[in-house]
Amino acid sequence: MLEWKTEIRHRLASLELEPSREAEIAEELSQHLMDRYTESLACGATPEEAYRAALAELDSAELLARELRRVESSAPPEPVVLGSNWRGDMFGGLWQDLRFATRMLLKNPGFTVVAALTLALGIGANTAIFTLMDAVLLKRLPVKQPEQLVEPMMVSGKAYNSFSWQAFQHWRQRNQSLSGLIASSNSRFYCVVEGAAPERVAGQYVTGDFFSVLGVSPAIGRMITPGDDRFEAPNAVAVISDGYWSRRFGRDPAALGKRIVVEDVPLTIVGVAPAEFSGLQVGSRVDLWAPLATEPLMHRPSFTSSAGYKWLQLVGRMKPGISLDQARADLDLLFRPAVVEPELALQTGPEAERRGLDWRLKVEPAGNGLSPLREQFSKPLAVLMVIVGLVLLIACANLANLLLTRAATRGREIAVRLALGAGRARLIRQLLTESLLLSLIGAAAGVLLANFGAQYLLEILESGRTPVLLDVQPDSRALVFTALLSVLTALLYGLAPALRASRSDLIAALKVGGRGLEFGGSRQRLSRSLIVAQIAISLILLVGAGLFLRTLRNLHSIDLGFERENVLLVTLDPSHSGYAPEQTRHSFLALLDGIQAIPGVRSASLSWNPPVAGGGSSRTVSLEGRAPGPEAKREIYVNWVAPRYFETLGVPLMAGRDFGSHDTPTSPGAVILNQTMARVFFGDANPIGQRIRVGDNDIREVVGVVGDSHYLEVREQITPTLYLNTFQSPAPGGEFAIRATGDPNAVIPAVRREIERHVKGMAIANVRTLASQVDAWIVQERLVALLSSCFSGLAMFIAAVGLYGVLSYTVARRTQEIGIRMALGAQPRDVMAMILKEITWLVCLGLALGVPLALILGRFTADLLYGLTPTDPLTIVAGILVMLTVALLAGYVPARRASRVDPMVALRHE
Amino acid sequence: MKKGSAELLILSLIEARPRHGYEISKLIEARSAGALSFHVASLYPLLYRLEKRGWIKGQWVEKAGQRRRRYYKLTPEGKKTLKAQRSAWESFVAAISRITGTEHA
Repeated sequence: MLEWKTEIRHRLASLELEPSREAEIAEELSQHLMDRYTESLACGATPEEAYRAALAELDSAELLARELRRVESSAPPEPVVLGSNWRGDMFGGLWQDLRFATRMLLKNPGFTVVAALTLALGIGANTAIFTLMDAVLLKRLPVKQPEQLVEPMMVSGKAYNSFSWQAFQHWRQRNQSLSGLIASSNSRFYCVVEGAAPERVAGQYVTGDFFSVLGVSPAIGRMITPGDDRFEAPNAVAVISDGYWSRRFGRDPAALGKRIVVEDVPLTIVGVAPAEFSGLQVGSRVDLWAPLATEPLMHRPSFTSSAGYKWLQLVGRMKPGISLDQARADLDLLFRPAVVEPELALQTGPEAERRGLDWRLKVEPAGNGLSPLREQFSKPLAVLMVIVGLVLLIACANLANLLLTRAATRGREIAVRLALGAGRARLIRQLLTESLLLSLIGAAAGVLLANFGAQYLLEILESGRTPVLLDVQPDSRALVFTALLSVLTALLYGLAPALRASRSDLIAALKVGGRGLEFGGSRQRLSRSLIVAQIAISLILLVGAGLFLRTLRNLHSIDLGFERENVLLVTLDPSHSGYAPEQTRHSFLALLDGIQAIPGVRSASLSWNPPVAGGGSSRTVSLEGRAPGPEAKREIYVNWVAPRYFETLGVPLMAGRDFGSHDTPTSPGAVILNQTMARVFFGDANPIGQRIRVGDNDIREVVGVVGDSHYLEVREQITPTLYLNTFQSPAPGGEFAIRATGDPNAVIPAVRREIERHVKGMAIANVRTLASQVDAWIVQERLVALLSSCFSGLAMFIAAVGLYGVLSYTVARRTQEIGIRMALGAQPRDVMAMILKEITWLVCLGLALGVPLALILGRFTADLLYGLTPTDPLTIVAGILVMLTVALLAGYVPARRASRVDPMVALRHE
Repeated sequence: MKKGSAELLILSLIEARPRHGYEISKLIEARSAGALSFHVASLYPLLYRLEKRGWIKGQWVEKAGQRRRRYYKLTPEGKKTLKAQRSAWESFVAAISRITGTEHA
């Protein structure tokens, strides 16, 4: 006989029932279990199964005991609490909670809309910046085991992943830690496909094991293999990207085996890379890969044979089990023989030796891709992430305040529920469900905002010097981030109010009646602390925005030495046009005359290097007659320019003359110096007529001195610069500069016609204005300034709304007190002063907290600033003033309302 | 489940004749085609509660060849409650149908 009664009695023990009652219950329940048991047996269950099924009826001992306790105790409480038995299962009443939360939110549409919108802005901003950060910094390359990839970098000032062929060979043959070391080099390839116009595509020379080391397999065809990459007998093959395959071949599989003429060398397309692989560099795409061994065919003189020319990007794959530190130590061991010594062998003088000692090797993980973009944007993006995080924090503080106020008005409801036996935990769960629901609504709207936001940010990035090609569609990672963020925010702003609300004093709450619940001083203190925090954070953001805006202004007002407006830059590419250098010279002279004859063109000229394009040339220069000692022989920036170049850019001629048409390849060589060079080389002496040695034995006469202007980029110190006449060099440059009388874009069609007329068939490689070329340098600053000022404005607005809300509430609560004061003779002015004084207190407290924080956080922005320090007093004072003004404005309305309290009405208030 | 609906179920099931606990639980399970089920831990506390309120009355009955069982029957007060709860339930269902738009069968 099965002893059900023992089981049941065991479960009832804790109830301590009267023995007779317990026996009765035990008998009834055991009868039930016996019935269940017999039935199970009848249905074909084994005795064991039947026994288990019957026992399962008892559920947990706890449940039975608890349920019975309610009934059997002498004064049974009648719970009307929502979902009263939730302890058994965590999510039991969740649906109920959600429904209730929805009802509560719908009951206060105003509150809900404001709260959800605040959250949408806060969460949206975070998602947008995260998406961008994810794309630039966090995403892994679509290759096999990306975490094994490392890139070596040579540090001399900045860190560069560029090495010579010789260094690459040295490392590749002698390293112990890598299972593979691959090299690649970016190049703009001049490509001709049969039946299409010639074009330049982003190409890359890669070593034969490039794809096999990365573990990238072809979409169709095959990849480049070590067999293709033999210098003695290179295979003329190419692999194209998925994008190029679509663009040029319409995804036709017949593209395989087609011929593509790259830099005048016919290559056969043997494969298409998978769609997700577009090279190792984040933010840029490669369309065509060719074996490194074909480089000497396409490029003469070859970089491969040029000793010391650093043109290869290296990426290594660590052997399994090798740590980054081990790989670093291993490569570092070879750093001197591979890189430093060959480099020093090419340079002379003690200065070079000294520099060589400073060179270091850095080995970094490369699983997220090589990215100059990452270098450039990691800091600004981190700063932006902090900014949007702070904005969200302010939003949370605001919502917490709103909820506190609401909890006060819902005090009675909460008190009734507590009085009816709702557990505190249960109540907190209910309140948090509401917060969570609100957060999720905000997050959903935020994702939409983020979608637009990220696209817009990308457009700004794309106007930069190197077009940034990123995929910023919010993906699952961004969605997970947003979901986590919304839960976190819900806890952040919901928990404190929920804890506070559920701790209310029942008797007091119920006594106050319908008016609501006064939580006394502690609620006030909490909401005031939140206001103080909001003001402090707003100030940090304001100061940050101020710093970035002033940086942008400083950059804008840099004297570049030339006049950036109204200049059009046009790049012609004579390389594949079939023009001989002499022919190019004549054509360009004629073209310049033609362009200058266009109405609306003031002057035109050309140069080898365009202004502030990020690249340049240099030569060793010394004074003729002086022994070439370390001081006299210097590496100097040079540029080859045509007559009227300085006039066209607006660089003043300080002494001597400009180049002219009488300077020809056969006439004596002439040079023009910038002022810095004249001062460095000649001091106070007149440089005109002096002779200078350029390179080894090219002696030229100084004919003029021009004003200093920026050469490489916007943010640089002026360095000595030497100008040579481009028409006295073997091949003239192709960088045309055209100064228009008005909008330079207006003359583009006429310029194109002249080009067509004088140099038919020559490719126009690039057309842009000088102004946009300058602006491209400060894209990052523009982005940061724009976003930080938007976000700080937003933060300030949210904080002001919060301040307004809390003060309005305070004034409403204190109507009676104010009434009494006024009845006793206080003037409206006094009342207003009283309220404003309170505001001022809060604001000053916030500012006192915010200033040191701003100073501390400001330190991290130091290298993003230009022309000012993070502790710039003007910016900080301005931030304080703005915050103070906004806070007083926000407080003015409630203060005014307080001053207009009618004592009679106020005293009747209760 | 709507509050009090479990009570309503039990009251309705014993309206026609007295039944014992196991019978009640089987009937609920069978008539709801398995959608609703009560276990010992939830059913008996509910029965005792209803009994305590005076809506139902339990009685030990012995039948030949069987162990004794406790049968529950409706009290007069229980009949009144059942009537009231039933009409409240019907108007609740009707209201819900009107809102959700399904035809009231």
